[in-house]
Amino acid sequence: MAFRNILLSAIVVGIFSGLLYGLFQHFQISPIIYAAEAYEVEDIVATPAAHGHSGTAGHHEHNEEAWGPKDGAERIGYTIGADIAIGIAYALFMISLMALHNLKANKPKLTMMTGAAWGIASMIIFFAAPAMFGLHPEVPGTEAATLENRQGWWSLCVALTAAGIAVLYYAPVKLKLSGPILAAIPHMMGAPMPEHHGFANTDPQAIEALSQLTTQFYLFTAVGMGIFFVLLGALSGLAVQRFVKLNA
Amino acid sequence: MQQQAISTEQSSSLTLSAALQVISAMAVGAALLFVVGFAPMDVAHNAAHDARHSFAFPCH
Repeated sequence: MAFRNILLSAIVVGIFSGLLYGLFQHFQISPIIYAAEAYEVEDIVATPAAHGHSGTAGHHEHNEEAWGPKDGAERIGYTIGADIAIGIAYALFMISLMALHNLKANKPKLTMMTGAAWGIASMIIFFAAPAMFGLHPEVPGTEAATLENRQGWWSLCVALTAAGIAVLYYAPVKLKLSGPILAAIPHMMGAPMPEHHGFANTDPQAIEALSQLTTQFYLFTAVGMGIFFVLLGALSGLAVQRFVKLNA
Repeated sequence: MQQQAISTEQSSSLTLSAALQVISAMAVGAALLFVVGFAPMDVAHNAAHDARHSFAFPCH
């Protein structure tokens, strides 16, 4: 059963890489998020009627009525759980495509080493292309364009970068150049940007602090994503080599 | 003879389902990624908030 093997492998790979990223995030990234939230101002549009208990410092909620994990162990637990879930989702893509590669492509079969190279490609697809060249990683409280537009652009950018890298790798030499062109399309369109850049908080001290936090956040997400994707790719390569066999 | 016919049929139906199974696995991955990383409901957003930021998904 290919499906069962892919699913089980992805769960194991996702748990390992998501857990590692969750720990990295807990020590290196979450402190930056918490620090930025201290400068968050009440969003007047989202919560027209502010209730008495709205001033909980450091706690982030869009809607006063909606459930959210309590700060501390509960919030950390949900964050690591979400990291693992995202790890499993990425591992499902990775292992499925690797299995297809082994079945169909006239290229070397995957190992842990080539898997790590796939991990680097995935980091370009899911992090570098959409985030470093488009929608930069943001701390809470940063002004940004409409969420749906950014999510749409993010999905388009990921899909076209993935297609571009696939063309570059698999297509015959004459057609390889169309790969980078595909990947460049979302950047020529341009990522959706807010009308004015900056932060919701207009206090000069807060802006200074948030700018510094943004730089740190950018650096640590990039390092963390690098570790996460290389591990995810290497483990996926190993899983495909050992456990996932498609019948030709 | 009949035995062989059955086994050929089995392996050809496995070929079809291999591609289908890979597509199913990727569909599960896409659904999971959407719920954790992109679903607009407040509950999904609040639970995965810090993870969404750390994976540089569009948030808020």
